[in-house]
Amino acid sequence: MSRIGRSSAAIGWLAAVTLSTAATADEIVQIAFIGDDSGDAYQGASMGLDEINRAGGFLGFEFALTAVADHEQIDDDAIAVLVTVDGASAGDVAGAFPQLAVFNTGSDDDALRALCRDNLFSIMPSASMRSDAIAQWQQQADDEDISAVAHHHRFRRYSSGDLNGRYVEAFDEPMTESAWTAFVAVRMVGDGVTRTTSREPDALIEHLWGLESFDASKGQPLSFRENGQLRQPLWIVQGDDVLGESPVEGVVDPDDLDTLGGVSCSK
Amino acid sequence: MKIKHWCLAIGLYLGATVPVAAEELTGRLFVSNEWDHTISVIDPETWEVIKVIEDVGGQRPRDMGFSRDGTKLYVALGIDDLIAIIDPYEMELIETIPGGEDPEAFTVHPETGHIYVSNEATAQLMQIDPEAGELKGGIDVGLEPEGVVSTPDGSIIAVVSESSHMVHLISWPDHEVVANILVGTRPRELTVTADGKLLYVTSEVAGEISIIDIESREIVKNHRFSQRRARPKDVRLNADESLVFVSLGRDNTVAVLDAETLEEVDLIDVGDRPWGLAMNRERTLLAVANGESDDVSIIDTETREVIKDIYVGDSPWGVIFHDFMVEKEMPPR
Repeated sequence: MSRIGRSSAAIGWLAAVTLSTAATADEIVQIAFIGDDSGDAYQGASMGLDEINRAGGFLGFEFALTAVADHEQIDDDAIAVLVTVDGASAGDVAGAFPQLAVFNTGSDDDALRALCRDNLFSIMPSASMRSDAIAQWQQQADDEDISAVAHHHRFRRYSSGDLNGRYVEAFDEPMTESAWTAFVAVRMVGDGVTRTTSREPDALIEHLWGLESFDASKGQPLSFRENGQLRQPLWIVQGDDVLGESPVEGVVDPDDLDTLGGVSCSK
Repeated sequence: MKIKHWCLAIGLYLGATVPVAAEELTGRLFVSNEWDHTISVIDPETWEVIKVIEDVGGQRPRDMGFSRDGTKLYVALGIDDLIAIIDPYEMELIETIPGGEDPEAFTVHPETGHIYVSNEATAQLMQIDPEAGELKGGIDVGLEPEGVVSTPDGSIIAVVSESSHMVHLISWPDHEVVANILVGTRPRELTVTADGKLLYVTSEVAGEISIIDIESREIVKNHRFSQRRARPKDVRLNADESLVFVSLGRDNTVAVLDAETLEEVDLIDVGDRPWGLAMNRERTLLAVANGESDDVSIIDTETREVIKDIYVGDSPWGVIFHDFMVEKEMPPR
């Protein structure tokens, strides 16, 4: 990311840090992105790419992100694909590319989770997660016009403020929920590849199903439900104000993330 | 009057040419209060807050450390990109110096007295010469660097990167990143054994503590806390290094583990969201900063009981006893 280069140049190097292993072209881990390559989701994915390349650089891995118009243009050697809200149906893509890790970063349709595809991972919270979060909140407060979101730029706890700061630095605008979900998907690919030391999609898929403590600046270790939905707390917002967190303490166990939304598979 | 002026003149003359012997260390406990931007100073005999330093030169004081001779307290001021230099005797601000971008945690190098501070915003470990008040340069590390420690001989500086989940080992004096070791998610802090061979590293979101062998650069032992709310943050060893104390954040406890097996020996209830830890020089006392109950718990490391809770300021982050000199001995990590 430019901010890193800029600050380094401004301060001057004490010592050149030689990073090993410049990956050759066929070793670069390819991530496909279906959707608008000028929107917030692409920005979030790009920031995720910068971050996994920074971490990967210390360990000898390099990643690339390629935006494609539709899933027929996905490269053969891609390891994962992000499907954003303005892209095709994530369920169709997962069906067409059963060998790839497919991330739904845009849709909150519960029917997509109920498909329970082996290679489909939803980062965006489902509609039922949002409605449960709101219902829990309203058991304690009579706030109107509230919504439940995966991410909000005014939320500052758990290093979420630092994350927003990096995004604002790079794009000069606050990080949206769509930017956040795309960012998290790319970070998961990077985390999976560096931890498994494998560039193969099946190793990544296995890693994702076994996740126990993914860190997405939400203060909780995150993992996937059997329906491929990311377990996560949501933030209750009203207008531009963050009112609190859900699961709501006092209503349910605040650590029980499965109090939000559909958990299991319908089949 | 005439004589007094004369003495003063001699004093100034001597002060300018002869190194003044280091004064006695005060033994006081300093507490950084992250969100009211103050430092509370606690008397170690009465456990009373004897002063609140209101002007610390900037906002968001977090990590603290002493100059090699113990005469200056350094405080990282994250919001203002500064390091405050505070007189621990007078308990007042002397000056501020640049701290790089968003300075958070640091170590004072045992050989040079330079500060190596994690710059969270730019993902660098920044070297600062506090005497000159100068940034010497940054070393690229992973995202959101946090805890920093130096081996007792200064040959290795270790820093964690919270968001890249790594421990970076940096050689000194050449400042080369010689190893990058993946650990559990969101590593926060670390400490080192007196022989400079092992690191104890906490991973907050994974709920783990790992032992890293510095020479082989491998994780040799790992423990996942069974408490669901455990978010391990800071870590300290006792005097004979048989026990390790870990603050567990949301679990509102400090865990005591066997330092070799990492088996849980004890669990001590403290205030809410304990983060920063500090041992006194003899390591008979452990101070715990409780970020959400705005107090400090003092633990007797022999009986492993809380002997005192002291109310301080808003969101205490770090604690440090003014009772050691880096130039003479290893800090009581």
